Amino acid sequence: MAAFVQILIGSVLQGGLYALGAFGLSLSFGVLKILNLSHGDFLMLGGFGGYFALVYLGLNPFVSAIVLGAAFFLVGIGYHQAFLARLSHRTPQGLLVASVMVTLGTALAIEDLTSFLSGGAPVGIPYRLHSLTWGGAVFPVLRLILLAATLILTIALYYFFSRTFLGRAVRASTINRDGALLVGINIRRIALFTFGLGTALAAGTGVFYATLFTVEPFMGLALALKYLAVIVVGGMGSLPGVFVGGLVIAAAEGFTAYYAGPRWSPMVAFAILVAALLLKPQGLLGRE
Amino acid sequence: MDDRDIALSTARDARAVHSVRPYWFLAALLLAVASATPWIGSRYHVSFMFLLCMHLAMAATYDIVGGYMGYINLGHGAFFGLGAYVYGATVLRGGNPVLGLLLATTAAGLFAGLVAVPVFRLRGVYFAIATFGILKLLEVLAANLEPATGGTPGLSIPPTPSTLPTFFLMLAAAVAAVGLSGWICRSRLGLGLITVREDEDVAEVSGVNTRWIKRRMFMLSALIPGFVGGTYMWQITYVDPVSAFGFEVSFTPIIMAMLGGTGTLAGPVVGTVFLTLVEELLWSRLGYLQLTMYGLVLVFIGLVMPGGLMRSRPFAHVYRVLAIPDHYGYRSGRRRP
Repeated sequence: MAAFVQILIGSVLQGGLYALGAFGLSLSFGVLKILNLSHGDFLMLGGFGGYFALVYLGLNPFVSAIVLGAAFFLVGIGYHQAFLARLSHRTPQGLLVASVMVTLGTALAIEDLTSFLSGGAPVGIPYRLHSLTWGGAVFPVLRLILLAATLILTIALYYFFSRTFLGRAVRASTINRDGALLVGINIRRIALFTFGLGTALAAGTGVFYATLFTVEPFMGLALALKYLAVIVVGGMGSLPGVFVGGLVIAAAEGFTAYYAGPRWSPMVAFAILVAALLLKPQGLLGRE
Repeated sequence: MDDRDIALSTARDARAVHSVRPYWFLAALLLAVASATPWIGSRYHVSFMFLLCMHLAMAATYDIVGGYMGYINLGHGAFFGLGAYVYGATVLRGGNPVLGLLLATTAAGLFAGLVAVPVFRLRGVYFAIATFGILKLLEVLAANLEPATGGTPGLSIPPTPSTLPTFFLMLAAAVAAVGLSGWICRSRLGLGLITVREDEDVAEVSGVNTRWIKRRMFMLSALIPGFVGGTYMWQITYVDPVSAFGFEVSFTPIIMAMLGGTGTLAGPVVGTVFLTLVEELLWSRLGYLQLTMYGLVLVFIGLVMPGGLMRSRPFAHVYRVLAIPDHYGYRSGRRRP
């Protein structure tokens, strides 16, 4: 029972992290119509950044999450301006091919370079706080704080996207691009902002991720697969849906790792994805 | 394109029918030189040609689904790895190499038929990620199913004394893959594939059986990689999850096809020869950061010439001079890569 509760708590945490990562991805896809295959690599870079910040600068992960988030907001904007903005005028098929080339190429280059520079070993941020024990279950304080931070960030994002003008403009652009253009939304600037926000979320999440688990250079593309599963389960562009999707995937992975062995958990996201596709015959497109 | 252009290009195509013969001679000459490698070249040349033919077979079959049909199949290497494992398992259980290759090819085709059902409910970039998931799935399975696959350490089979049979099998695979691509780009079926790429919904209402085409072509494109995987295993005699399903082996042929130009007959050939030569002459001396190089090449193609080398401006001029017919996809592709 204690194990069950702990797995559940771990899943809520990991699910929240999946949701934050996947949300930035699905948002920028909604606005740009480009799925950024290197999105997971920004999470990985955030994790490595947090690790080096703690080891060499002694920076607390919570501080480095904010700093790295801000830095990667700029990185995301630069990446978008340098690469993705140049593709936007192409035909749908041309855009698809070119965007896969550019983002996959970036992902491969980032992963290989990180592996070369860091030695390629998995890295976890060695930052621990004491634990509370309650009713036989152990609650590490760090996990609770991270859980709270994830929840607060999610609620803040929800508030931002439902109450503020900028957030609603982003959502309008994902729902109907032409309509948003007609009512005077500057799509180009919105796309830039959304991409920056998604990258910042990924990098900040990466610091939390590396504090709880480990990050390794070649995790980025596999994460993209998980995000796809999260989005298929939860629904495109909806924050509560993505959160539910993240929880489902994380819980399934947690229980698989506990009952069948950790080596089977990488298959879970794929199995859920295939199951969702088989059960929903219209697939992702049918809902549009 | 107005009527005059169409009339002109038709006339050019008619003329081109006569000018095709020299290319057949050229192809036959290249093939003759390639077949003579074991006698005129060193061991190094033979292993280089083996690698080249392997990449060529993979790139040309990737192009069927990824180029003509426009579905980016990042999991194309899965069929290769599956073939290698099936061959290894067959030979270890006392099967002879021919049976091993047969089973490797069949297994890859059947597996493709199985996964085609869920993955073709996706389009565009979702299809790309889901097929990447297939690759990951097989990698995890290969590492976890120890009794059949040997787990993470991998499978070894006894080496064979001569490299001649595997060399000619790989050459045959490459010729078959390019031939298949050539047949597809000239056939009615190829037109069907291209309509799926250009606009799937329009293709469907125009009477193209898109579901049939997508599944059958996906299965067809898996057969040769399965065979190639088996032949690779026969030659190298060792396979583990990373060498069968890792980034290098699965993405290299895709990047080669994209560099040359997907959806063209010559694109994968040019891209493969170019990148294999560059890798052999430059990058393998460096010993590391090869994946970074491939990544940067990919970014460069995506930004500067998404149609690949064959659709870039200098090449387009060459086609006009040589009067190569339009149905090889160069001219149409320049506008719509």
